[in-house]
Amino acid sequence: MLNNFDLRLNFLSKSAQGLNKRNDLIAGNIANIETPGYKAKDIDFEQTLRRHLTVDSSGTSAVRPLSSTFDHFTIRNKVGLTEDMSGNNVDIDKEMVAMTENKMKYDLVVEAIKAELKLMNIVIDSNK
Amino acid sequence: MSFIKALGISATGLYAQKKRIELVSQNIANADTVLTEDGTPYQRKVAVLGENKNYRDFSTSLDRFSRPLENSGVKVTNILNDDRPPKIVYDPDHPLATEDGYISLPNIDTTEEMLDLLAASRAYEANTTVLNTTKSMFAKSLEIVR
Repeated sequence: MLNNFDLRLNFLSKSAQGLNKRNDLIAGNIANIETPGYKAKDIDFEQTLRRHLTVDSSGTSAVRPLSSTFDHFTIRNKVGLTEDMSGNNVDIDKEMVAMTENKMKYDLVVEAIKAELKLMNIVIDSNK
Repeated sequence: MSFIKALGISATGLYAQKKRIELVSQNIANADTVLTEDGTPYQRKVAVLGENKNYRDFSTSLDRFSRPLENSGVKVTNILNDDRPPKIVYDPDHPLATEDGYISLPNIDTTEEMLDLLAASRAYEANTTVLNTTKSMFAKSLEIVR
């Protein structure tokens, strides 16, 4: 139980880190909305995170320990966007949607962390 | 502290857009300036924005060996003169008019300046929106310790 708890909390904190990093990138994209030649950036941390989730035969997913190298998210340029005349491809609407989505995901992760900690509290208190 | 970094990036955006608005007001204020110090009519000024690769927040500046920032803010790299020729207007009564009665007015188009002003203030608003989102994410993260 304790081991699982630790893994889940670790997993959630890595998700929060990734979402946090994405918020940085969105802030950078929007700040550079009129910078000639700027290319919109994003990170692909969900794929990395998914590889650490294993689904067993009963259909429930378990979390494997995350390696320490997971901190290094790779930043890549977004694809499939149209450039304007100056070579800038930031789409303000897409960035705004991405930002809202990112914020909602972050709130969700924080709620999950709070729930985990509440569970832990219940375990600690049950001894009294 | 990634949140501080995001706030800093948004701040560079706010600063750059504010600078653009400043230039617009300077251009409009000088729309009729026929004589500058070097004897020519006022020339329109344009801000050139560039990616701010060297932007560092306080904590990364302290850490000499930190990795350079992969994501960046924005900065005004240069303020250039618009090279378009001045507007030539027939006004023989003007003290600075040539022998033919023509005078050179600044190459400023008020409509163009208004569009620029609108674009800059929208971009400014976009940056404030990001700032507010980052702020509320920060506040949310503090709920964990409650």
